[in-house]
Amino acid sequence: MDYAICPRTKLNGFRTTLNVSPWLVGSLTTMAVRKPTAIQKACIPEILKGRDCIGGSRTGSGKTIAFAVPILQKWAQDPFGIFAVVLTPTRELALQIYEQIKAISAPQSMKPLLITGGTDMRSQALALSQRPHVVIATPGRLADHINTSGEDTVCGLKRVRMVVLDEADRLLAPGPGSMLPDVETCLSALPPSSERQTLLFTATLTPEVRALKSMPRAENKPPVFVTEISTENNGAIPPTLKQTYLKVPMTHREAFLHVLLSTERNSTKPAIIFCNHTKTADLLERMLRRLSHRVTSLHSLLPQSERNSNLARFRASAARILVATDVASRGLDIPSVSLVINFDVPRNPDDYVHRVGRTARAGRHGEAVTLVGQRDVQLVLAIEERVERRMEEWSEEGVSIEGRVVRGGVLKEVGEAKREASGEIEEGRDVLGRKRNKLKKVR
Amino acid sequence: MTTRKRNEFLDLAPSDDEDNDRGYDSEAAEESKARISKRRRTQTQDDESDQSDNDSVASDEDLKLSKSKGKAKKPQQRSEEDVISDNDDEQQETSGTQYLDVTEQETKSSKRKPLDKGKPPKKNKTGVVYLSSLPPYLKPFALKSMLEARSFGPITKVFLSPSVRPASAPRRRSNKRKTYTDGWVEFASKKTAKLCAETLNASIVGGRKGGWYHDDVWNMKYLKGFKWGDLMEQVQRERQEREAKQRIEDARARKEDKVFLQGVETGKVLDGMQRKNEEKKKRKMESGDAGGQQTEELKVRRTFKQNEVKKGRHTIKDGEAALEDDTKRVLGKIF
Repeated sequence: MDYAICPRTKLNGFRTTLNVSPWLVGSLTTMAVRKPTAIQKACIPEILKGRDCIGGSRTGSGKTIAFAVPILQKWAQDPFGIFAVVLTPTRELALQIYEQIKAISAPQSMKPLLITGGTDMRSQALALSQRPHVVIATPGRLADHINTSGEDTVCGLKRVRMVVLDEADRLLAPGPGSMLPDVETCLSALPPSSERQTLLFTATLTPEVRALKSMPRAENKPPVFVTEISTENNGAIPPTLKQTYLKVPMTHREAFLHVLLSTERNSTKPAIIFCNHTKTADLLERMLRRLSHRVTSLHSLLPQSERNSNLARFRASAARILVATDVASRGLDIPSVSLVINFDVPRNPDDYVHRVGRTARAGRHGEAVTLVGQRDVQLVLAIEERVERRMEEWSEEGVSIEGRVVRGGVLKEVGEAKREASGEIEEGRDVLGRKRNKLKKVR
Repeated sequence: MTTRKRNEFLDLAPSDDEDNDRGYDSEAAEESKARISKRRRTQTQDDESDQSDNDSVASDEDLKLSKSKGKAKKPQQRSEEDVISDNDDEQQETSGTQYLDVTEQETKSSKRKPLDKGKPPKKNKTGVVYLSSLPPYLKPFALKSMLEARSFGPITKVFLSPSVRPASAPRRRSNKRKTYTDGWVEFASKKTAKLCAETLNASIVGGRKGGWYHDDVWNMKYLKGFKWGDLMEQVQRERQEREAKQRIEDARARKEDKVFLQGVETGKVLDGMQRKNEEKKKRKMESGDAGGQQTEELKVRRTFKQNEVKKGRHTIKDGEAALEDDTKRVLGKIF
């Protein structure tokens, strides 16, 4: 959550400059959000005026509050049926926004509703038909409700006043894994664009988002308000982030990772390890578990209940390391994370921006280490070009990773753990060594 | 036949996870020791069947009752190694797991039958009964004594599969007692096995009124044409496969490690050479030999095929990317 955006200041910037209602200011203060960030300063007054908005801002700069506050304020003036719909690309992000909105709206009796996949559809449909105030959804499940749950359930959507597309670049990206068809279904159930207010938020600007700026507008509506705070000059990477790389051989990446995670400086840091594939993440989690790291994982091979509980464990620092795929690369706000490790170099430089954005949030310091193999040099060069900053070689005084890998049977230890882990996967056991009796998910 | 193959966890390697309660449990070990001593007392009373059971320290969920009839008194304390070396040649060899064969005397003798042709081959007359559910907290020994108390003896082997706590269920801290989901009981004769299943199936456990198990219902089925060995077959096959695979993987990993270590060594040597060359050059420069300036840049030689970059979509300019029609349609709906 976006606690402690800024060091303590006596005056609350929300009240003095942004014209936010006192109850909202109060609840923001209890969440230790006192001074608005640049994007919040820019967006909140314009949204309150009723203008459509495209908010581009680098990772960890408080975009969620930038749309949550005006929604709540406008809703409090006229609380009714389904007032707003928030669409996000991942379930965990939806859950996070849901909890944030719930926390901010605590003084009021607001009913937000979470509609995501991986949970029971019937109870969701019942809750949806009872007209919650704000719906936070992933596009796939909401589209499913619109198509199958019947008119009674989704007719509340016809009166929605505000629509938010969070991480709009992902929601609108074409190509494989595109969410466009589902987004279209969702939009078709909502009122036409002239009768609602639409807000877009993103950290990276894609051609789709740029094309939206130049779209023709209805006559009675003011032009779209666009902010691109610090997207242009500094890349989308926060300046407090230290980016490093570590050269590793492809065959022994795991051993290097193990040593890297257990150096003196890193051995206590909460860290996220990003992989390109769910299979790698699965294997890595089991392997690190055998090497006695406190580890948990987040990827789509897990059932949703486990995904949620693993993320909660990581948030609560019950696990130090989270092994994840790109499903965790966007929007998740875990302030304590101070180290992001790219076990695989992301093929798309934009993904890199989002991944390393999980650390160094809201002005904190953070470090990102990218493990670079023989074949990844081009990828790293592309990333450096994208973020307009050079990566440094990773170093810690008195530590030679290669020396430690070679010494003291680390290779053997890690190799054994890896083999055991892959054997466990082949036998279809879950992380705790229990036989999985459930049928595999069919896609 | 059995509908469930629940015996897979026999070969479960002890994992270091906190949720897994298969590690050494001192309480359980003590309990099992106590049980053994108690059983020994009973054995002295009944001298026609002498039973030895394995030291169930490693795991007390499998229990083995060994019965060797008609033999002279055997030493009761037989070590595990003894047993294994005894049935080396047998199918039943379980290679050092908790599971020990009990009827090794009988099977061994039956194996050796062809050698001494004098006696007719002794048939394996054992029968197996499957219990698809068990009263909560009923332990294997208790089950055995209950059945024998109902005069369905002698029982040669019992195996109950411990229940696994589902991930969603709450963790219990105080209650250490185990429940078993289902189990198999081997009787020395088929006849008693059949009779037992027929009479007890779908009837209440009974016994002392108000007893813990009194109102639970037996759930038994006689498994026709099924031997104890069939139960173990799959486990053994899986283990063998795993071991073979591991051996191959081990060899490969060792080779990889060797190559890597060699690479590290050569890297060190090359680094040293480069450093020396630079020092030499520096010394030359210092001695005033400014004429021979060779600014040799290190040539980067990349012989590895590079991974392809998927272009970041932010780099595509508005004009370049012709948005597809359906994308345009969706975008048109937004504002």
